[in-house]
Amino acid sequence: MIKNKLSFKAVAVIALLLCSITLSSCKKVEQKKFLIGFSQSTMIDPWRINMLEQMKDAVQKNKDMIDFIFTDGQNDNMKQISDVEDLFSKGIDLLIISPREAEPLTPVVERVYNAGVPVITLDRNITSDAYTCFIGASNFKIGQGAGTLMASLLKEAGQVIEIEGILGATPTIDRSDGFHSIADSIPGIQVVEKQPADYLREPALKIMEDFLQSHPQIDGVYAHNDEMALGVLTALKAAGREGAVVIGIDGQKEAFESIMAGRMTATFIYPNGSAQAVEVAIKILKGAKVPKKIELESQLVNNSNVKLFYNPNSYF
Amino acid sequence: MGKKAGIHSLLKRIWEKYNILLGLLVLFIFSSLVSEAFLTARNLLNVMRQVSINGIIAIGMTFVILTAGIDLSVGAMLAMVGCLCAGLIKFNGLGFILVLLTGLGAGLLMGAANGIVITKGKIQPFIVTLATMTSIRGLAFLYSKGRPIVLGDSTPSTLQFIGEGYIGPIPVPVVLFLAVLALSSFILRRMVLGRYVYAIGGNEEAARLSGINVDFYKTVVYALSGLFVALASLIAIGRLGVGNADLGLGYELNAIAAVVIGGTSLMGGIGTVEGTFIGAVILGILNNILNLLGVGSFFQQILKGIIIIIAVLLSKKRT
Repeated sequence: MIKNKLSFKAVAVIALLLCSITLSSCKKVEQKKFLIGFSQSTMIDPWRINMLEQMKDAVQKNKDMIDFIFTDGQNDNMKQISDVEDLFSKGIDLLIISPREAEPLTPVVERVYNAGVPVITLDRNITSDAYTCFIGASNFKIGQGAGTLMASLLKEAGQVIEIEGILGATPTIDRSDGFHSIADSIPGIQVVEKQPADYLREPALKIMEDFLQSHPQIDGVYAHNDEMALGVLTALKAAGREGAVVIGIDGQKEAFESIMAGRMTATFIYPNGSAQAVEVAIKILKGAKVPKKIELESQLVNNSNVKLFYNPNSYF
Repeated sequence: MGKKAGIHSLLKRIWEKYNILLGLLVLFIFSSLVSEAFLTARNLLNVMRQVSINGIIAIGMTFVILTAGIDLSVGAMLAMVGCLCAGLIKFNGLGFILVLLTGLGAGLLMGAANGIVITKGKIQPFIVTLATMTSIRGLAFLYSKGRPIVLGDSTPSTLQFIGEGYIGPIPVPVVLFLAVLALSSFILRRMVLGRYVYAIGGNEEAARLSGINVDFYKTVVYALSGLFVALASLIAIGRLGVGNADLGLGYELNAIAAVVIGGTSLMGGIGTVEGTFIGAVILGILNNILNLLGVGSFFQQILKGIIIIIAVLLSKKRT
């Protein structure tokens, strides 16, 4: 008897659960909103978390007309392909994607685009033209900017260390190639060491400690992002060799603070374009024409202009 | 009363034998109810294709774990074979058949090397494959010079077919996954190798004393894992159109998760590849439904960990 009662209760609970689920899935009868799906490549990186947060802010401002859903590719091309497929199954009206890598993500984005769903590629593009609009900044140009700045600050002579991002990743390649396209053409500038620290502070700190041991003279350090530049600064400070030029990329709040304190030389803001992406998405959904490519300008930030860009309340 | 007890013990037996399958069923029904996008042919075929690569790796891993071993180098081998095959196509202009044979051969050799170091060096599999995981990944970076080997239009059509093609409505990776499952099930149930795998995992010393060449069969098992990884790698580069040294980072954990959810004991000797198949599908559906519901990615990772614990608790009750 007791058992029967128990199982009756269990059935009742399950039935209630099922009812509530069915009800909750029925509630979206109101006015039709557009569903924007965002496929982010990874969320390990604060810059990419910031991209998502700013996108959510932009969506929030337009919440009466758009719903938003996002996925995290967990730094894995296969996972991100699955994510795009899932978003497509979900029935999104527009896809915003920041592909982890161009080539592998191209076919799945093509399928979505060819099925009539507009696609905005953000930060990194795909290899075909099966997208509506690309929004992003040029890592190669930023690398060139860093190379030019390094050469002029060192008066075209000096030993430079390069701290790279994740090996094989497109931004690493572009930030490196851009830098070398300038640095290698100036005989006085020697890139004496080059090591990846995966865009992370702690590995950059360790690598820099080793280089400080092996190189009595270091005039400049080019780090592929601010996070690593900050690690480099810690190592320089600990070794009492803070005179070196340190250039980073991204425009992280902490890097700005370091520039204001006179420790870091400069950084290049690498804009994430998420606010623009939502803006362009709304235009597309309303049927307006948008350009195929929107190139975001980078900005050199140094001691002379850092106050203009510093925002103590920024996520990043 | 007697009848009731009979039913009760019958239910218990069914539960003990099929709890993983029931878990899958519950997840499936739940998913169908909460998202109208879930129960569509397109979505389900997508999910199956998504799980194929991890599934094939996990089946190889099942053999290894059944012998009470572990293979942490699967993700690195996936990258190495992928880079090698992409390189052979792009830099050496090799045809598909040669690429296929070299790729599978490379996987087999790397796996066999794991097995030989483990058995002849008498070092724990965890340590050996942890070491080869790093070295093989390094080799992949060295071979590819740290840059993706982009095939693009030079992808052989057969390779593309393996990764992206369909046989009827079924994606080719799914067909290959099912074929690997059927083959492995046959090996474990009907072949000497299968009997020895369970015997070694159950009690290695007893197996040795009864005349089984334990070192040889353990090496075969690691070689088999390498071979399956190589097949998965061919699917991956066919799908991605690029060989990249960072392919498959952390895939060893996904594979182990599928095996464990599927009810195979890490102590060896107990488990089936069918269980692993279900484990892989459960993980795939979980990914899919959480995406469809728009559950945040941080929460997804937490939930996946919890599911693994629950699955292990369930299978523990069984033994």
